[in-house]
Amino acid sequence: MAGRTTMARLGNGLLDLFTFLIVAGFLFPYLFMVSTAFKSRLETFAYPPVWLDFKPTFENFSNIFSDLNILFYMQNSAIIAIASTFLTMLVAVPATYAFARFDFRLKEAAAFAFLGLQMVPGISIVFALFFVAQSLGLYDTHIFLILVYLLWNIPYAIWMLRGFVQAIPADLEEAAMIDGCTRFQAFLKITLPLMMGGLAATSILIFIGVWNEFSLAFFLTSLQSRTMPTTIGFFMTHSGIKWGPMFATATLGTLPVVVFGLIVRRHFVSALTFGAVKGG
Amino acid sequence: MTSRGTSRAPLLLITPAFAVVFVLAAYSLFWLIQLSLTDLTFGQPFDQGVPVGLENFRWLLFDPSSTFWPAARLTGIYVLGTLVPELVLGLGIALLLNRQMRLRSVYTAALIIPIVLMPAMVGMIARLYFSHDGLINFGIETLAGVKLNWGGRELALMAVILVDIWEWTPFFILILLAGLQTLPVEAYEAAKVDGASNWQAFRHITLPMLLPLILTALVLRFMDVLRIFDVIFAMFGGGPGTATTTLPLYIYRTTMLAEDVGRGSAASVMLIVMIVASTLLLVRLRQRVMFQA
Amino acid sequence: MTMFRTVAAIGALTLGTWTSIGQAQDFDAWAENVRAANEGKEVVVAVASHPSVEAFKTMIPAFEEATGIKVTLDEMEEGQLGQKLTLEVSSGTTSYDAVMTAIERNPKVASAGYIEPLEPWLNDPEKTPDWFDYADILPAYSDMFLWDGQHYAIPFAGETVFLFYRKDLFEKHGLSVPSTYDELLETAAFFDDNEDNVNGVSFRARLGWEFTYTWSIFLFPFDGRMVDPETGKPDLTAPGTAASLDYMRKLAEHAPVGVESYSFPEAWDAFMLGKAAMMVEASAAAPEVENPDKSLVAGNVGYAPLPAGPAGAFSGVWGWGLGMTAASENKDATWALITYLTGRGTQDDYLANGGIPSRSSSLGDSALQAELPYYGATLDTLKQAAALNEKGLGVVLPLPEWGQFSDIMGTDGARAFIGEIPVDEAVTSMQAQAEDLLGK
Repeated sequence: MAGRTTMARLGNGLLDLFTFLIVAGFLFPYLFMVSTAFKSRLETFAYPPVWLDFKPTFENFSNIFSDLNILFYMQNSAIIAIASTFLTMLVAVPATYAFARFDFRLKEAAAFAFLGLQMVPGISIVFALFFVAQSLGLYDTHIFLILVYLLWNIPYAIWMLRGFVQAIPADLEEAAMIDGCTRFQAFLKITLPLMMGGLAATSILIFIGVWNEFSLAFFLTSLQSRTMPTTIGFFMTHSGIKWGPMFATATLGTLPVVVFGLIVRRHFVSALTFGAVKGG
Repeated sequence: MTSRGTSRAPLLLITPAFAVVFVLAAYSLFWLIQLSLTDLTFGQPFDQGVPVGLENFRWLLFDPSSTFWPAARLTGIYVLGTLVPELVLGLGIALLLNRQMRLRSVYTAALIIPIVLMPAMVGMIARLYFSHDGLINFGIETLAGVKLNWGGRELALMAVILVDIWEWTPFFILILLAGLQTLPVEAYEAAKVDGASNWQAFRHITLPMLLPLILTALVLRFMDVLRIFDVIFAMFGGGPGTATTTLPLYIYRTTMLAEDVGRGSAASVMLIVMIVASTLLLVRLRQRVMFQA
Repeated sequence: MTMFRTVAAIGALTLGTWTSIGQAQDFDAWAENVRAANEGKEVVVAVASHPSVEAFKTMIPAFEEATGIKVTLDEMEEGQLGQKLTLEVSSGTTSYDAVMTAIERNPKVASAGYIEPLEPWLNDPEKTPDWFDYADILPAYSDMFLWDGQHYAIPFAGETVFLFYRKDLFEKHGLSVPSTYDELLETAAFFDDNEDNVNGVSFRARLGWEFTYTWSIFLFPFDGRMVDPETGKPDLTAPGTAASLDYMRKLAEHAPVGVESYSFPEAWDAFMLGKAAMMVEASAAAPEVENPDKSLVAGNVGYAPLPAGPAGAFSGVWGWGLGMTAASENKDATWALITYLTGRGTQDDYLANGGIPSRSSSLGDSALQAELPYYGATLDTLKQAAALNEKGLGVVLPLPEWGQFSDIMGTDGARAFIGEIPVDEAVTSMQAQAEDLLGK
């Protein structure tokens, strides 16, 4: 008897270790990236790689702030991401509510139409969009990207929010309406507060999607509205690939999304699976 | 519970959303289709394009110089090469994490990171990691004494697939973990009373109950995986040769580098058709499986 | 295709020396005039990442101060710059006043009217000061930007390709610099066998225009062809074309692992970090290679003209220039900037900060000659480029369709290079696509 328990404990311990190693394995490339942002050029190329045995330097970061003007690109990314997320929610929340609370003709068809329309790959229409932008005089403007991203963001937002709205019993609203509220007031007072978590998670996921977007931003922006992901080309220079500054940019660029991702992780899975699963 | 309400209300609520999405999609698709029926060089103003009917499609599909089919094939390999391992690994790791009580929230926090990172940056970073004297080769050399040529034609596609697996397995892990946690404990207890082994419990309880979720995750991921561009572009640009030229990269190279807007647009149209058709098929499949469950 | 008057260029080189001009006075007077007409205007320039651009960045503050004109540089990677310019051409609008244009792109942007012919400015003494000295620029370089009889850009960074090699390693093994491509192959193989962690030769071979760049160096010495010089029609099926690809495949066996994915920064890095004993790359790499802050091999590098193949020894002339957009609203201010950055009067600053020389006065300066260890190789490879042009051939086709032609070569050529398809299949496919493009 005693032997079996020890064996079981040993087995458990090994599995725990194994689990730890796997998760560490997933985290490691990210941690190495952050540490490399603090290395000097030759240390970046060192083989075998330099793990912890180096003197951290801030020169890569100061380089991208001064030479590369990284703040400008972060600003552009932020403007476009925030505005697009806001507009998306403005339009998607009512639509989701309609899907969740009403039955109407063509409801399922409309739902799938939304899903289908956002399947268009960005790279397919980027050139057509370029023509559109030029003809409207909107090439290299923030507003163009903000609007274009709505094509993908709105359907995603509707699908992600759907589960959260459906989780709130319609009875609560019915009760309020019996008490004299209009449907809209019921929505504001009851439904909205209850879905705040999901709303936040969805907003952040949409924000992350826009913040990270590359193909459209790369071809539709220039001097005025260039975003962070498009800076990857700047590091391919005549003096070799500037890995240090690039890693510093990557660290900075991914910092907000990592922080946001961690904030919403409770509702993360729910949002991502379009409400198929609750909580995380 | 839904209500019929005034039949105007839902339409009013949906219209803005629908209008925006539809207008954007329709306008872009309209342009795209027009361009696909034209012979236009990148750099020419649109009105100088020559209408050529279905010639672009014919060239892409049938001309011997066309590398459209190899690109389609590579895309298929990429899809299978990522989705299958991600699902299997995702499920396995989710099972492992399910056993954890204390560290679970720390682990799930860590696993969110690969999912939310900027793919374009991940691609550039992977370019360094997979370079001949990079991190990956260091690991391989330590374990197996050899360094691999990731930039070569045999392994470039695998490098790109490995990056995708790193980025998206956590997606499956988190979803399946959440699913595992909603499974009824009573079913397992009953099974244990009946003398079932762990493996049997897994096969007959866990898997069937998770199946809807597995399919949901697959569909969600499938919609995205056919469009992947950023990572491959940053790492290899479609090369070496055409070793990593999946359809999105094929479209990019044809439109911007071979400067053939007509053919690039035709390839885009075909990609869109493929995505929509295959996704709808998958959704149908999923619905059928779920009805049987 | 005899557009390069290189014979005259060589003559000018042997005569040129720095002459002292009353520079300070002339400059101040000129700056005053410019300021009076253009103070407060803004000039936006699209540039690619390049050593000369680094030099420009150090020179611009003085310009802004003297003339009151604000200068903004939009810097991006070479490939991106090309796409950006093409996009602007296709749309007929531009956000730039001046653009950095390369020889490969010039026919396209010039023929589309995107940039201005510069003769009106050059020939107007009101607009172009004496200290600019256009004639001092090597005609080999300024003619790169000829289209339809007019010049569309002022060159500032002429480039050739020469052979970089590690003097220290060659001395150590008693090797001599290869003078034929067979010898190059042998020497490369030698290093693979006899030096740990050092490969034979580094070069760029990433699919696309980068592959075409390197291939155009090996193409002609093996008697390959892009087009027939008489008819201008595609002639990729000439036997030398396949032979040059075969050679490149053999050479790749002695290049650093992963060379098939190398962009030029990676090729340069490989040599600068000591991983390759030789490099066949652009002369623009030389200042970087000699920079001890960036290069582990600075001071140990020798420079040689390219080896000879069965058909002879050839190099090529590439280069960058500054052009003015036709739609610019501040042309006078833009022209002032262009003359400042590329003029003879400011060459001291330009060269001191890493700019690549393209003027006969610079290349003929004995003090500079002593300083530039690659001076000799530059001259020799200019002659090798001239030799190529005399045969009616060039490393770049002066056509608006060059971008597409280059991509055809760079895609199927790269596929054959890595063994994805056999060489003869690649050649046939390229020829078919080129005929599609240019006609038979």
